[in-house]
Amino acid sequence: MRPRPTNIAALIIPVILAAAYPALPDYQKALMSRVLILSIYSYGYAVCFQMIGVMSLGHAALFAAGMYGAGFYAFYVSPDPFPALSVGVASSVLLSMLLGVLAMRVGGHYLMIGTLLASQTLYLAALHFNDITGGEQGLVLRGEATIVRALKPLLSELDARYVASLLALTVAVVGITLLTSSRLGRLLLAVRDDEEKLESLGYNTSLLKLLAFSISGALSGASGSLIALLYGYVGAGYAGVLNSVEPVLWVLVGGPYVEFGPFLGCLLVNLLADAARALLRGHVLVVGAGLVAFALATGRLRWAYQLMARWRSRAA
Amino acid sequence: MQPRPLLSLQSVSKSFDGVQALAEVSLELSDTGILGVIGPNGAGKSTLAGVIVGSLRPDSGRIFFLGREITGLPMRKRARLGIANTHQIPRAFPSLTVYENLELAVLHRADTDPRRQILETAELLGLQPVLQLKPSQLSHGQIRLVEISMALLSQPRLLVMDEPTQGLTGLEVNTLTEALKSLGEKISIIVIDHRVDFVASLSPRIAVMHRGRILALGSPRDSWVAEKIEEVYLRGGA
Ligand SMILES: Nc1ncnc2c1ncn2[C@@H]1O[C@H](COP(=O)(O)OP(=O)(O)OP(=O)(O)O)[C@@H](O)[C@H]1O
Ligand SMILES: [Mg+2]
Repeated sequence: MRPRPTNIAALIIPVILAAAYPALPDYQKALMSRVLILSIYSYGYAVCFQMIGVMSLGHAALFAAGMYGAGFYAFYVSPDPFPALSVGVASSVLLSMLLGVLAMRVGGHYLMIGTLLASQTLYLAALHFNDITGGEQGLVLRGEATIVRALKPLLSELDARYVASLLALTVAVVGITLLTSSRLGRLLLAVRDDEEKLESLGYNTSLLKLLAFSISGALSGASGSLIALLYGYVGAGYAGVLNSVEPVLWVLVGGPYVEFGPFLGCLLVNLLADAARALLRGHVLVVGAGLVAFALATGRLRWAYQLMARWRSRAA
Repeated sequence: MQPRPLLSLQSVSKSFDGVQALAEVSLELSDTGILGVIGPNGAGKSTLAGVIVGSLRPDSGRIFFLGREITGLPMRKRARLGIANTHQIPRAFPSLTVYENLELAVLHRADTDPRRQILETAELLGLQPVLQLKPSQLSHGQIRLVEISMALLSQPRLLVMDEPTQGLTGLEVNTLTEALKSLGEKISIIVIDHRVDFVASLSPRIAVMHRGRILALGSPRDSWVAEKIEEVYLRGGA
């Protein structure tokens, strides 16, 4: 297996993040921890959007499934963070498989609507059953439920979050580089390029898409679970529309290289949003629109157009 | 008893918005040999390829392969039975290198050494120098050769080629002709082409198509086949 330059670039990311940590001021340490966890969500979105060329408008459903799965386990069953993480990831994988199978039945393009409906359903259900979910207010997990608490004897809260999120991101990045350099990764790109041609070579492209969507679900769910278990909080807001739109933005800003683009996009958008929050008191969308305009102006979105054009011509 | 044909079409019809692209076409192919299909634009040649390969569903009629009905069978299952094809507009996966493209065609059969097979096929069609390039860096003709190589690597029993010489240089056409001639001794091949001379050089068996029908089937040296060829090309059809 030849090492791909994009893989090497991606694997440098965790190294830089680890090396930079001691130099960061506390505020940035806290901010970065969050960005690192959300980047995992960004990678999850990219597996769906960039690798198989399927646009989903409700990925928050998968993120929230992971968050609630882990959160409920920790809150109601046992305050043990590691089984909770597994439950969270499993919940979102199950949901993504369910949505994937349904979408395949009615035609692949319905995945977009399917996830959108699922995320809205989840959001409304979370509000409706607020005696279980805590609704918009959410649930605060007992201290022992959090990964931070598990690491407490060794590290301060701030350090524990950073270390845990960096570790998780490293696993995700290594996973993505393994995926893109594997036969499965090449098959997924082939699905995006020309599904019919791949079928004519004897491959079951529906199954491949389902697999990719489940991987996407696993990563999104891992991100959601980690938010729950590192911050000790779950809330309906994470199932909302904004949390579905943000990964689209991250991945578009990050550019075409799925190995490091999702991280860069997530980092850039969040740093700018944070700067804007300080200046404008939280106009995330304004910054987002600005970034998209910037990306359009510099032609960096050409790959996304091509993707969507291909996707549209297939839909026709 | 007659030997079972490899492929058999029984009055297969297909129309698009009122245009009859295939009209009650019947056809039989044996296990080896090349069938040339010629006919003017819009004759229904690509549609014929489509219903055999499975990218198109016929409106009526039945199709059998290896004695089993495949009329409604999805394309990937036909591929697994041993039907491969190349398209009129060549298709390769742009995100992958030529080598990776070829690998996808061969890897899902876990029999022999895939690397050797890929290199052999690449050599046969002169693709070794471009194995590490992406399709966007190739000429139109080279992309066609990539698609042809993929089809060969899938080790089909039936290979359906839609205008395989379009965009190839004279030299590439010669290489392909030789490759197909020897392959035609082992498997069954359908070669669709406009170029009567190319098709005739490949095969003594030619189907002349026009307006969705096979007007004549036989050797181009048969006077009545030659007549039909002249008719559809020069006088715009019977
Ligand atoms: N997908 C389609 N939608 C509508 N009409 C179609 C479609 N495919 C083919 N046709 C029509 O069916 C008829 C037969 O087309 P087909 O492509 O099979 O011809 P052909 O013999 O391959 O022609 P050419 O030599 O130009 O490739 C034509 O009239 C064509 O316009
Ligand atoms: Mg044609």
